[in-house]
Amino acid sequence: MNQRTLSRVARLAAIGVASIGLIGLAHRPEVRPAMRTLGTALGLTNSCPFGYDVIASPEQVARARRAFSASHAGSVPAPTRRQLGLEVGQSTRAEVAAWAATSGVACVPQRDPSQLTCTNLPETSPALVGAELLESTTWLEFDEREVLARLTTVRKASQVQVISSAFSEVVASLGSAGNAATRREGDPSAAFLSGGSLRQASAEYRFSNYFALIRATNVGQGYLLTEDYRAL
Amino acid sequence: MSLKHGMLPVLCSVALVGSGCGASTTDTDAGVDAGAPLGPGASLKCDSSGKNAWDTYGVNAFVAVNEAIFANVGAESTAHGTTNLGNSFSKIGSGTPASTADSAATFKGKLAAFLVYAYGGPASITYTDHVTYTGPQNMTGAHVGLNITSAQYDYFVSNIVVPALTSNGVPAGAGGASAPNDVSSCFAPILVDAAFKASIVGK
Repeated sequence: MNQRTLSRVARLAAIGVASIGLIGLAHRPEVRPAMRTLGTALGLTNSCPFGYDVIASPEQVARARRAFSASHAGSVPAPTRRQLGLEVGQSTRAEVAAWAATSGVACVPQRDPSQLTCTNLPETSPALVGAELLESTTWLEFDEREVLARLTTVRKASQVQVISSAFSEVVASLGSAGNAATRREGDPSAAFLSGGSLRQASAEYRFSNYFALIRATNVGQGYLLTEDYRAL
Repeated sequence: MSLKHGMLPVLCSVALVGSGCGASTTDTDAGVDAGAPLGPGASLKCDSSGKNAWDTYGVNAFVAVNEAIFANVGAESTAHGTTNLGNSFSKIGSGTPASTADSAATFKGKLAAFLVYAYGGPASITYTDHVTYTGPQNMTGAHVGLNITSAQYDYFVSNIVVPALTSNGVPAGAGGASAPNDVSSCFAPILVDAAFKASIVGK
């Protein structure tokens, strides 16, 4: 890469990721009025075009979940929907609170009271136990019955082998529990992931009552493992 | 296109991001008009073509990816609220309201124009709504006070943007001419730049 190219690339701090940048930009005070009009045009009651400034009503959320289920459900029920000590579609908020208390997990409520952000989750994947993680965050979402509807984790490590192995272990764990992947994409090997930024592997699971998506991604300054489990 | 006065400098600044983005009459990048300003991705080379992303994929693909990003984000927000993508978006609405003529199409058009410019395309485009939008936009400082976390940023890139690219035909193979990975070669550098992320996260 020549010097001119390096210089241009170095300007990225001021331009950056277009979508993230413009979304963030869209929430500056100067921009809000435009976003409010946009939100109105989209049928939202406030101005964020993605609706993030609105706490959706239980009916809206339920409708959105049904739409997701319709497009992502498989034909048979999952043998198990239990992950990380919790079960989507089954664990109640009270049970999650008890689990957090006994596990040493710290959860913080979000602006939408149906959501929690949790840290310090005990690791169940051998590759992650004892590993030095750059990030470890879990997001929990409850439905209108106060039952856990979605569990999403984000773990990041500087070593590709940690995430590569963790991905394989999670997939193997899902398989040993009877959950077979509906779709696999990319290559989770350390050699592939480390070969370039945004290289990615994924495993998707579609059941009539359960959706799971596991991704390993090279995010440039580290390697990311995301696990997304949803009750349908 | 009518814009609130206060929004104009922010959204529609035509100030190029540093002279480094300016074109040189000796620039030999294929497909870029001599003398036109160049985005930071103009010199990146896609595995599949040896050309930058704009020259490789063209306007239709950029529109499709733009729409896919919106679709992916929309699905996250309406179904699952703000958590995965950040409570930063909840900041909006606490200021003084004012009228504006911007529509959903305008917002999409502006994002598309930025993407096109950033990846080697022209400094302005006419979007599907037949409105012309400017690409170069000053993003510095746009995220102050939004408290975006590193996890949310990484989640967005890996679960929103990358799928938008691959679902629209951008290859993500092992690399090289035989198994090109254009996600890595000509899109990723802009998306994983450490300095840019640091300017967004935790502000």
